[in-house]
Amino acid sequence: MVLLILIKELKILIKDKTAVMILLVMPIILLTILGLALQGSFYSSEWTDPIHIAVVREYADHDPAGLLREAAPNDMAYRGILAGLGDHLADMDPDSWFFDDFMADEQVSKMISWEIMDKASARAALDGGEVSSVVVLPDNFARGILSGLFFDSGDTVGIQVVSHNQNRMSYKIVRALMNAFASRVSDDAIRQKLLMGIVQNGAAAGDAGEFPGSAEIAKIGITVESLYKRPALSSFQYYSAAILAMFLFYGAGFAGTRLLDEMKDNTYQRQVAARIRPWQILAANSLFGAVISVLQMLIVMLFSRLALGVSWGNLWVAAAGVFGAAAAMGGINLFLSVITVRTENYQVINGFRNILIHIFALLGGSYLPLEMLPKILQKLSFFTLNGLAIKTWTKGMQLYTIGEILPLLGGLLAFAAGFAAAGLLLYPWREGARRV
Amino acid sequence: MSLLEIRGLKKYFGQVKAVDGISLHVDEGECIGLLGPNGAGKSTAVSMIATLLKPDAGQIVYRGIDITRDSRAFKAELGYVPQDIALYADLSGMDNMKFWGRACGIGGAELKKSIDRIADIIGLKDRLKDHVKTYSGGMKRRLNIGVALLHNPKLIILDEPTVGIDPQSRNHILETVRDLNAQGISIIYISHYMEEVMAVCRRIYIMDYGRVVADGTYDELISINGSKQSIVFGMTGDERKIMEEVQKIGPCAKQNGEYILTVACDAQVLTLLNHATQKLGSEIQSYRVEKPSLESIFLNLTGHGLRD
Repeated sequence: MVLLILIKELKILIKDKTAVMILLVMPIILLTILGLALQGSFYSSEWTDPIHIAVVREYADHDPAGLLREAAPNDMAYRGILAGLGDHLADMDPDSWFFDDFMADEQVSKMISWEIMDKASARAALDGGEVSSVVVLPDNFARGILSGLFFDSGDTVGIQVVSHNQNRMSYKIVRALMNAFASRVSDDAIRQKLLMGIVQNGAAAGDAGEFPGSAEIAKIGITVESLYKRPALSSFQYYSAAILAMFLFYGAGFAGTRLLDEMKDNTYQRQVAARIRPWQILAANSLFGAVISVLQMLIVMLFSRLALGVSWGNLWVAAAGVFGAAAAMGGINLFLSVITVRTENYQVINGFRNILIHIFALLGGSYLPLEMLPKILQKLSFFTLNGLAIKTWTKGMQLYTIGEILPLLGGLLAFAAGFAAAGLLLYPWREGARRV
Repeated sequence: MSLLEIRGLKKYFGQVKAVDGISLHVDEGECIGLLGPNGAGKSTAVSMIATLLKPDAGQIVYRGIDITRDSRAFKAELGYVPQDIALYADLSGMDNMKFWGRACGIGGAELKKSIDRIADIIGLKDRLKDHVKTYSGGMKRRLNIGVALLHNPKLIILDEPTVGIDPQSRNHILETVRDLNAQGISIIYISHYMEEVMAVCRRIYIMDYGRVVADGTYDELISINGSKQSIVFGMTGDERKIMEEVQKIGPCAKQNGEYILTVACDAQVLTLLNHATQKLGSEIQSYRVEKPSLESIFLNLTGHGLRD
């Protein structure tokens, strides 16, 4: 009987041109328009909050003066200079220059906030979206900078800026800041060495011609690499997932409306008077919602792949997202159907369709990428079905594995179970098929 | 033993007593009528019989089984035709037939044969491929009945099956009901048109305010009125005042612009009516005496007309 009702509903859906337009064609049109409109500027919008990053210190605590003495060449002139600096050696601390001077600078603070983490925590925070980038200061950070400042040691300092996505604004800003830090240190090094050269020349006349040129003085390199090698998302990729997730709700709303139509047309009552039981109608309606969502997902995925060249990345993850989202839509549909049976009016469905869907769309990231929203809204996205679906699919596009998206899939299935349970609890089992 | 027996059936909605302890029975092969004005509780009673509503009290026993406890066997033999057209307008007549046939538990070759047979009965064989939304009101009504017959029901409930259709389609439906009954199918026919009930039903239950106020064959019901007859007259003047004055003589209702007074017909009535006319300052425009009818019986029993 459930299959019989489901097939009948699909036949009615196919013949309803308006519904087909809204449920199956509109997502394709919208994702194409938004994808085209936001292409190129996809991640270049203004940030509403400072970028939050993690800084990993791979070097041990140190005594700057000791480091400098260790690094100094066995040359009387250098040793003389170091001896001349005396107590000022204690101020020669790259760690302090980086954190207390550079990162605490008023202009820098406007752009980024930071916290020091160990490498594992930073990686987890990056994966969890708590930080947008990680800056790794290498184990030779302090020693390399000091030796570069005073001596021509050739010790390269590689600062890593790690992000999942090389196109993201946060990555670009952090990389630019690290370059600025490197430039500042290089400028200081040049000034320092020029000063030292003058002193050295004074100390050992005739050697001035051997002093290296300013371009070779600073050997502080900035290395940029993508630690987890996640591909960047295109605007078409993002909006394929985002618009699809939003339109899934319309599918659920449509199935709820259909049940109410049946009640108004008395076909619901007639089915109950035949051999169909109310729970079978509800089960079929819930399944109908799930089938609509699967149809929507398949159509959008095929269209975006074939017409727009969108890669859905890890197809197992995409399929898991389809499964989770379909189950969640089935659950929501059951809940909406029961509310419809109880209230016997279109207010709930209309409220859901006209208000709630748009709130979820905003919170879940269907309208704007979550990174453009305030932090609080970003956190709320985990409590929206479309937010979870978008995260699942976009992670699939970035080649995450099934194991890595399991929490998201769990969230979708929790939605499914929660709404289905609420629907079953609220169903007026004792009142019969009709509330006259 | 009756095919269907209803005992003390009650359904209240808050303070409203929609059905207030009705009892009735349907014998095998019998067609009974449930007659009453809108709001009499007919449809609520039928909803309980069709298992759509759970009764607050009472029993509905079909072939010895209380269907409020176990309705499976009953549903297999029930053909329910709701008051409203309960069809899928966007599907074809054939798709509707197939769906409702399967919903009633038949399929395959049996369903195909049944669709052919019913399409003949309801006269829609040539239009089954068309969408139901393209049908006329009468055709929809006929299909509405047809889909309830696909599984060869033993008991059919027809809830106001002729509402809003042309006389030709109405006759076709009444003819179909008579044919079905002639084949031995039991029928509960609900209507507020007494002429339809009189045309197809052997026994009639008259309902008002959730209760059965009278039942029996047509002759038995007529005899309830004894020597009373209906005086049908037209009168000018304020309707409320006329009703107030005339109801002092006997039960009166207004129908189709005329007043119907149910009383024992003697010379005194005319005198009383003349007094009332003089008192109201109006005049009698027409006057005739009619034999007792279901309408007049209903009026006599309830104090108001069937279509009030």
